[in-house]
Amino acid sequence: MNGKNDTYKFDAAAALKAAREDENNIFLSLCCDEAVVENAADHGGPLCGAPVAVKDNIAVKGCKMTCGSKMLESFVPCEDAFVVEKMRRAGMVIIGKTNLDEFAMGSSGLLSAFGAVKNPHSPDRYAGGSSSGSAAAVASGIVPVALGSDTGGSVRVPAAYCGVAAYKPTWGAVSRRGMVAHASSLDTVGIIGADAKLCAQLMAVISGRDEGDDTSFDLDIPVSGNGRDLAGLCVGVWTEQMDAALPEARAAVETVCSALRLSGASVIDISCPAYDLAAQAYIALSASEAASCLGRFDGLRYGADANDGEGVEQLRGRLFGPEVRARLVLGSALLGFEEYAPIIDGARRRRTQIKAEMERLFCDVDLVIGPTVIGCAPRIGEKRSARRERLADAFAAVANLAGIPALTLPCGSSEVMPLAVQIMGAHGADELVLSAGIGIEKAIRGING
Amino acid sequence: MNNAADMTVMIGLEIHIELKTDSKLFCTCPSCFGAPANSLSCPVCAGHPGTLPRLNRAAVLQGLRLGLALGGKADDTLIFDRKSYFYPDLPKAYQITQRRRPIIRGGELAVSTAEGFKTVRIREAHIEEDAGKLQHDRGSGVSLVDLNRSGVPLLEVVTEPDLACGEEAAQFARRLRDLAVWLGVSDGKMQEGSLRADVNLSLCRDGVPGERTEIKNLGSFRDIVRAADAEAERQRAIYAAGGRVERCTLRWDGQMQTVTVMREKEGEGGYRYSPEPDIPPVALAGCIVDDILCGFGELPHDKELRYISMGVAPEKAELACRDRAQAELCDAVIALGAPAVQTINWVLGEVAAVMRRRGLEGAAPVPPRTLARLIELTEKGAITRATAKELLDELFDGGDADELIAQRGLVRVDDGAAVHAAVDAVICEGGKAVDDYLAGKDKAFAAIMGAVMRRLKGRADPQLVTRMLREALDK
Repeated sequence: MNGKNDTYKFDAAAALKAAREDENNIFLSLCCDEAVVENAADHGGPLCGAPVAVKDNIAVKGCKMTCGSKMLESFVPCEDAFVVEKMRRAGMVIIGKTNLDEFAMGSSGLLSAFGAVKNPHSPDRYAGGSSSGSAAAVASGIVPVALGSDTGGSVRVPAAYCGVAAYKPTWGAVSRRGMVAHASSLDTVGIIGADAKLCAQLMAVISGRDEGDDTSFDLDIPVSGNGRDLAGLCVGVWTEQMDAALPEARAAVETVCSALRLSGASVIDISCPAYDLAAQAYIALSASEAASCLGRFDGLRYGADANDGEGVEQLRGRLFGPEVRARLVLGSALLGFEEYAPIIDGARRRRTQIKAEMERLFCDVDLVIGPTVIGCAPRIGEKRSARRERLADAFAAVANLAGIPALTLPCGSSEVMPLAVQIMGAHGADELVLSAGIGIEKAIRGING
Repeated sequence: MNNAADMTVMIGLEIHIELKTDSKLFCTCPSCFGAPANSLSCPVCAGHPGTLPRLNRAAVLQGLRLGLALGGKADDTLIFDRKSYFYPDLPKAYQITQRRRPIIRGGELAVSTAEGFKTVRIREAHIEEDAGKLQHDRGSGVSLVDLNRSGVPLLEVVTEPDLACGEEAAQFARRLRDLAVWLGVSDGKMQEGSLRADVNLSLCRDGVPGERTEIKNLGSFRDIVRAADAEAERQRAIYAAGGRVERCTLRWDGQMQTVTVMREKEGEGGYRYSPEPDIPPVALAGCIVDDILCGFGELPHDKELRYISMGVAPEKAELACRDRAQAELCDAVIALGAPAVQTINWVLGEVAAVMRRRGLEGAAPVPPRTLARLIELTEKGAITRATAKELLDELFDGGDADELIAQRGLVRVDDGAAVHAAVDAVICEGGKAVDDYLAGKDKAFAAIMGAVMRRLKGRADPQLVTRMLREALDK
C-alpha cells in the first residue's frame, strides 16, 4: 500500500521485492510477505505505510535475531522491541532484518558471521558499520528509513560511507528494550534515512518514555518533521576534528559553513581538548561493558549450535568471531585485574570530563559541526594507520560518551564516494539538531543547485 | 607443635534475607516459593537478549525498613552495580547488586551471652537480586536449572567479625530473622530458603587474626552452629600441626557433618564489578526514611530490655519478643495494670496453648481487657488457675469473664466445710486409689486428689484440698 506522506511516496510491495533481489548481502531475514504488505492498516501518520528495515540486533517478534553471530544463529525473540511496537502502531511495514558487524562491534561492515555488506556505491569500499545492512538498505533505495544501533558511531559511520542521513538520539530518549546490549551506557537505537526529514519523522515515532526501560524519558519531538530557520543559530566548528580530517572531509564541512552563513547563522571555531583521549576512553568503557553484556551468551541457550561435550569456554571461543573475542578479553581483563583498575578509572574520569566540556561548549554555541568521519569510505584492504583508526573512532564516540544527539548528513563527494558532515547538539536538544539538520539539508541543496 | 587451644574464634556473617514483596526485584514475576520449576520466570529474569531490568520500589522500601530498624544509616541515593561471573543459575552472567554504595551503612544487633547482651556491629546492608536454583541429579550427572528464584529481592546484611562461636552466630541469624518477620519484611521460613547465611571464620592468636575462610549457603540455624564449630576445629587442627590455613570457600555437608573445600576464594577482581547503567540512580528522599523510622514503634530488643527491667526472666523476655502479635498482646495487658511476669507467663503459656489447640496464628482473639481481668482474678485468688484456664479457652469466642464466673458460680471455694465434705465423701466411697494409698502407695494420692477436685468442680484451692485430704487420710 502507499502511504499518505505529503513528500514521500511509500511502496512497501516494491520494497519487499527489492529486498528479495538484493545482492549486497543486506538482509539476513525477511519479516513480511505480500499478505502483510497488503493488510497494513492506515493510521494516518506521516510514516504510515512506510517500509522499514531493522538491524538484526533489535527484536522483531517471531523473526530470527542473529546479531550477525553464529552464537544466535537460530534465536527467535518472543517479543517485539519497544521501538518496533511503536513503528507497527504507526502503520509502518517491517520488511526485514539487516546484516551487521557481529554484536554491533566494528565500523567496517566486514565483520558479520554471515558475510560482509557491500557498499551500494562501490563494492570495493567499506560499507561502514556496525549498522552496515541498514545503511546500505537506505542507500540502495530499498527502504526510505531503517533502524540501527549506535554505540560509538554505528549508524553515523555507515551512513556517511553510504551517502545517507543518520541520527543518534540523546541517550535515554529512545527505549533500548528489545535491543541486544553491546555497552549499555553507550548504546542507543539509531535511525538511518534517505534524508534528515525522514530521520526526524521516525524519531517522533519511536522516541519517548517506555515503562519497560527505566532509563527512558519523553522528549518533545514534533511528528511532522519540519525544518527550522537557521538565522540566528550559533554553530561551532570543531577545530581538533577538522585538523585530523582529510582535505575532502574538511571541504564538506566548509560547504555547510557557507550554507549556514548564507542563511544568517553565525559560525565560529571551537576547541574541545578532552576529545584527544575520547577514543581510548571509548575503547576501555565499551569493551568492559560488552564483557558484562555478552556474558549471557554461553552457547548453550538461544539457538546456538552446541556439539556434545563442548563446554561454555569452547562454545564462546567457536561461536564468537575474532573482533568480539578480542573485545571481550580486553573488557574482562580491564574489569578483572586490579592492576588495570587505573585504566578503567581513568576512562570513567575522562568520560565525565568530556561530558562537562561538551556542556560548557553548548553554553556558547547551539550546535557543533565537524566531519563525521576522516574521509570517504576507505577501500577494502587498504592499509590504515592505527592512529587514523583511533581518531576516526573519536569523531563519533564523543557523542556516545557524552550521551548527546548527533546527526550525519551527506554533503558532496570525493572519488565518487560520498562525504558527510556531523551535527551535534546539547543533551536533550534532539528537536533542535533534527530541525536544524533539515534546514541545513535544504541550504546545501540550494548551494549545489 | 603450636598450642592452638588458646586461639579465639572470630566470625563475621553475610546473611541473605528474601524480602517479602509481590513481585521480583527487576520484573513483575511473582516472588513465591514452591511453584513448578520455571513457571515464575519471564524474559527479564531469564536474561533473554535485549531485556532490561525495572526496579521494584516496594522491594527497596522493605530493605530500607530492615536496615533502618538495625540502626543503620541510609544512603541518599540508590545505585546498583553488576557483579559478573559465570554460573548456570545466573542467567545474565551478572548479578545486579550494590557494591559502591550499599543502601545501608552501620547498625547493630544484640545477642545474649552468658555475660549479658553483646553488640554485634553491622558493616553494611545492600539490596541485590537472587540467582536461580540448581537441582543436581547425582545419578545422571546432570544439573537442572530452575529460574523461579532468579530475580527475587534480597537484603544482604554484612556484619563485622564480632561473633565468637557458632552458637552466637546462629543466635544472631535467628534474631535477625525474627526482626525481619516482626517488621513484615520477610516471612522468615527457613525451610523455604528465606534466610541463608555465609559464615566467615578465622582463628585469632593474641588479637591477631589468621586467614579467614568462608562457608557458603547455610540454610538453618543448626547448620550455622555445626558448620562454624566444625570449621573452627578444622582450622585449630591445622594450626596445632604447625600448618597454614588457606583462604578458600567451603561447603557444609549436612549429611556427613563436614566442611569441604568448594573452590579457592576469588580475589575481588574475580567477580568483575562494574556500574549498572540500566537502573538510573534513584534519590532516596529524607522523608521516606523519616516515615519509616516513625512507623516502627518499640522494636523487639528494646521491648526485651524493658520486660527484663520489669522483672521478667531474660529467656522469657526474649521469647515474648519473638512474635509481634504476642508481644503486642503482652504490652496491652501490662498497660491495663497486670503484672509483667505473670502476663508474659500467661501469654507464652496458656494463651499460646489455646492458639495451638485451635490451630490459630497471628493475634489471639481474646481481648487484652479480658486477659488482664483473668490474671487479676487468679492473682487475687478469686478463682483457681485451673478455672482460669478453662475460662480462657471459652473467652476466645467472646463473652465477659466476670459474668461467666457469676453465672456458673466459679468463685474459688475457700470454704473449709465444703472441702471437708468432699474429702469425706470421696474417702467413704473408697475404691482402688484409696485402698492403694492406705496400703502405703503414696502415688495413689494424686488420683484421690483428682476425685476430690472433680467433686468441687475444680474451684477449690488445691493447697487447701491437699492439706485437708492428707489429714483425713492419715487419720
